[in-house]
Amino acid sequence: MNDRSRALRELSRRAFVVQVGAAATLLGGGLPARAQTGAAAPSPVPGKEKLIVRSPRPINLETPLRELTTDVTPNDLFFVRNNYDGPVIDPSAYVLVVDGEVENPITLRLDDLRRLEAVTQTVTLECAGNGRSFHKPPAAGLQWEHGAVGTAVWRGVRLADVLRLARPKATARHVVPDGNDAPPTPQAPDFIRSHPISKAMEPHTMIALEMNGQPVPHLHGGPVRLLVPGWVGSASIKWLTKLTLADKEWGGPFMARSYRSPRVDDPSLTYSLQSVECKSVVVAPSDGAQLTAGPQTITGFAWAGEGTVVAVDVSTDGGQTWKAASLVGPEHRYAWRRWELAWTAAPGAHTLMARASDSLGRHQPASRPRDPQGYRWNVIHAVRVNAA
Amino acid sequence: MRRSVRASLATVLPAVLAVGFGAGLAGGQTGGNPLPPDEHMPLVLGACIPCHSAEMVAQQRLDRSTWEAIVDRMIGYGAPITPETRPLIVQYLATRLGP
Repeated sequence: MNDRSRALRELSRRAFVVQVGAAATLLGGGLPARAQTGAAAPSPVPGKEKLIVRSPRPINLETPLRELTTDVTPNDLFFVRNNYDGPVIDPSAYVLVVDGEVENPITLRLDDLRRLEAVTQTVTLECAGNGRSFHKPPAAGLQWEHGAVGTAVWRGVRLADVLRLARPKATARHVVPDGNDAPPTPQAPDFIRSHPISKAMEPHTMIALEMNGQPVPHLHGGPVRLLVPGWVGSASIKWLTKLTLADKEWGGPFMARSYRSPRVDDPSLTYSLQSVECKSVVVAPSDGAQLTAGPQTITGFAWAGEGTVVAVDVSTDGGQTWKAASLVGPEHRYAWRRWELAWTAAPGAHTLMARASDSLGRHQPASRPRDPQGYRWNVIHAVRVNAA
Repeated sequence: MRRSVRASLATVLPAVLAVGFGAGLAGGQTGGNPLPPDEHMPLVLGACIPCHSAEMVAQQRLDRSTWEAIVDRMIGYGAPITPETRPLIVQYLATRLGP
């Protein structure tokens, strides 16, 4: 199938055509009965009914914080962040190309990947823009609250094992992964985020084939996606079809313009985001909860990207005093850690807060300077509850 | 990566969409139109939804200069916006979807 016929087939599948049909109907048949006067919530996405639809096209779905109750996030609750949508890939037709600064350019099919040594690891993914809606003044982009984060058990192969098959040259300093997503116009830039070969060769960096025991679902980049643990989610390219080794960082807009924040030493300069921040959230009780006075458990998750969570302190009096929470649940190098604190709720209103610290000496801040694109939100999370 | 043929369609569809969607259907593939009503709302809808949902636009609260920068970037990406419609679209965005 040539590019044009493939594109046409794809086009026929998409909502866009539905809209064109609707437009034509409207032209012939007058205005719709349900003319809108205000915002209407988009319908849920099948299989993701509990998620908040931030955008139906491209599909971007947020997990309500109250639903993030388990160490491993089930696939039907896992957030979705797509810069562009992409067509469903037939696993039997799947091909991965490894080229660029290599001695031995290769093409691998799904079975070739399955023949490599399998690795399984629990990894937390967080969107770089998680929490963007809390920035003041508002920053452009999807207005995520707390739920563009989740943790899955991923099974696949080490990226290093795949790259070694292609024998990288000494000049190979960066890995430039490309996916099968579809920019909507010829002028719109391809979605590409590169990473240094040092991160690529780390044993945790992997090509994922399974997510929580199932083939990686299409919305999560299946059949094959990259997984760059600890880094902002955009590094983990979905629908992976090509790995090009290069002597320098990719220079496209998703490296040079997006996913950048002001440098601390000189805010007039920016840097390309890599590790996510040190961060914790209070999952229970939820903001606005009406509690029964007496014994309660405050619980949530903390994560730190390239760092390791070493402490979570919790305040039940709006930040005046803090107590160390217990880090509980399983511990994995690149996964969030569940924490909890027993608390006796006196009758009345309370503000509960959680503050994480990590092995890199980072602490969650009480405030954050303006980030023009709305990244790095990790300000101490507070929930207000009432006990009676 | 892939390339779709939407670009060529995008050059002919805005007028259809602007007229047909004037009263507000199809913000995305499922819901209604979330953009605040205004005489230039159909123009904004027609400029944006060939490539992405109206929700992507409606959830923003940005000042004029930020909107101008975004509109110009989208023109660079092939958004069907002309020198005549650009100021009307920026005016809508800056006033209806300002901070």
